[in-house]
Amino acid sequence: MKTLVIGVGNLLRCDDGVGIHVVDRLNEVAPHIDTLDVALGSIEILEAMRGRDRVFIVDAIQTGGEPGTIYRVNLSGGEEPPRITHSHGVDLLTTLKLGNSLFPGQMPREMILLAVEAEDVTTLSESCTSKVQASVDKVMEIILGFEKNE
Amino acid sequence: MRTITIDPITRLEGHGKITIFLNKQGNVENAYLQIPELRGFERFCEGRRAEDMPIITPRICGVCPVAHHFAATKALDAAYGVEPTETAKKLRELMYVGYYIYDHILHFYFLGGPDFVVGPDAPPAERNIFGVLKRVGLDVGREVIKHRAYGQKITEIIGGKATHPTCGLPGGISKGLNEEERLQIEEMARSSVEFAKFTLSIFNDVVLGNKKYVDLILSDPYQLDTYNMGLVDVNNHVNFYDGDVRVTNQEGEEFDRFQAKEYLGHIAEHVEPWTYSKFTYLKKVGWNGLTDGPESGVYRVGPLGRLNAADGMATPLANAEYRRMFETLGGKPVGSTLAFHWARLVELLYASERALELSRDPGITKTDLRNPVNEPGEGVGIVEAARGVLVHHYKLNKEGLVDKVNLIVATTNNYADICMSVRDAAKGLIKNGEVNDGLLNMVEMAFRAYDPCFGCSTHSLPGTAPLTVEIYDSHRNLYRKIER
Repeated sequence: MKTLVIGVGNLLRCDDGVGIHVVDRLNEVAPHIDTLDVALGSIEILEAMRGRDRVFIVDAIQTGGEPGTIYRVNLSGGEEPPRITHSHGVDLLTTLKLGNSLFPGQMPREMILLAVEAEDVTTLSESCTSKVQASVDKVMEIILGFEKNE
Repeated sequence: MRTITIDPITRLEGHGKITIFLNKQGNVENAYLQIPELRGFERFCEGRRAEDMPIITPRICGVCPVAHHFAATKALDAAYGVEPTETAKKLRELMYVGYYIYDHILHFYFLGGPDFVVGPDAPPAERNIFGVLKRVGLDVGREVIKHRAYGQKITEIIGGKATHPTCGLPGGISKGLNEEERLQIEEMARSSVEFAKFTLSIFNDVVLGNKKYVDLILSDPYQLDTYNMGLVDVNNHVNFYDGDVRVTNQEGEEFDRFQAKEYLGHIAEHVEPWTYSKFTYLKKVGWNGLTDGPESGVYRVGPLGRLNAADGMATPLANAEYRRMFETLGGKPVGSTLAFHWARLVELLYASERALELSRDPGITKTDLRNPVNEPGEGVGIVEAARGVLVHHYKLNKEGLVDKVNLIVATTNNYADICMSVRDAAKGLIKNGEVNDGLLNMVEMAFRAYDPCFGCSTHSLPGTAPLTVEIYDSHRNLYRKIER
């Protein structure tokens, strides 16, 4: 099983960096899992996803919910991701749609979005707020749980 | 008075807001562009170790990390009074043109191109990459993805990580290139030259072959008559990585020229109460409001600014395209905002040719990677980010910690131009209260041509439409709201 974990976010923008923190932690505790840390999660992740069996995308989100809440969306199962617009490139849904039309059969069989409710994405800080920080290990457990069940 | 607000602008990093004020007749009285500013970043850096700056600053923005990385590295070269080795300079430049390859490809096919390839007044649902692929075919789509990835791979081979490079050190670079990697880059660069030529042929067929588009490019609402600024080499050819900052005037003649360390004597900043972002202008001319012409210190940067500020390109194919562009558009300087798209493709060809040249340079695999540094002091580094002149200025204390930081980013240099372009397009296109989707997109095109970047990668709220148009009545009550 070829797994890739993609952390998306801006490390300097407090909770926006939660995906990057997850990737950093995974690199420490599970170095056998491939990771990628990106700021935009746009076309740049398309190439990285090709040929993988399973991809996790970890990103920050703001829906007005309780900070630190983890939302799990099965993208390969046809569930629509929440609208996360990275307007400089293209959004995640467009990226996946593009991947499926240009590279049929090469996109991952399983694509899971793990979105963490952020509290603060504007303060310049390399650390998350405490509730969001607490979710880092939980997100990691979800990912490792999948891997263990192989 | 009615107010139309376009917020946020689609297909651009960060959030911006265009507000258009209509008079009673329904014509545009004025239009404003507000952009968010990354406030407090300078203070955030103070007290950090100098060598951390090339690692931290690329994190400001996911769009131009390589530009920040090398502006920071060059500022440290200057602050430590050290000249990088010849090999390090070549490797830095090779990595830098790799960044241009992926950046410019993304802009043409995904961000700017849909307006032309699909059409400026096509329905928004088709005016995107899928609309482009419908016209150019899926095979071309695969080539787009492949060559964008090539640019990224070149930066990754040299930089360690594609999006967050770590290779730049004061006086040099941390890692050299082996023969196997060199061959890999040479092959990707060779392929990129062909792809750049192909992309220019699409532009030629689709845009230049259509009189309607050429007329649009040359039409009044998209013209600005400003000064132009860009880095040039000793032959006054465009250089992305290094050189003198050259300013040309409305006649295309050299008006000002300076080195990085002299920038404060030539560029000043102006503040307006209605926006957080500052406006830069030429000190020699002064700030004269949001106007163009020789009496206004406003200048343009980015692809068109660079080509206007230079006398040519340093590689043969790109130089031929450079000449063709200016001949077709009526000679230098070109003031048309929409010509940014053509200029960007000329630069894509140059970046690809330059990558090929450098990959074949016999010195590129040498191992003289770093010169020893001197005592820390003060330094300025200037590079051409894909979007224009980028300045990093640091003052270090004697322990090598950062005391003071000043950054001028490309979008700030172009801010006055973008505001004027949006205003002029709105005034020229919106008449008698007729505001439809196609017209608003054509106003946005004035803005999108600059490919502005707002220096952050915060996400919009889920469920928020990427484009909202709000029209207010003369009492500023919401009169109409359009969401796309």
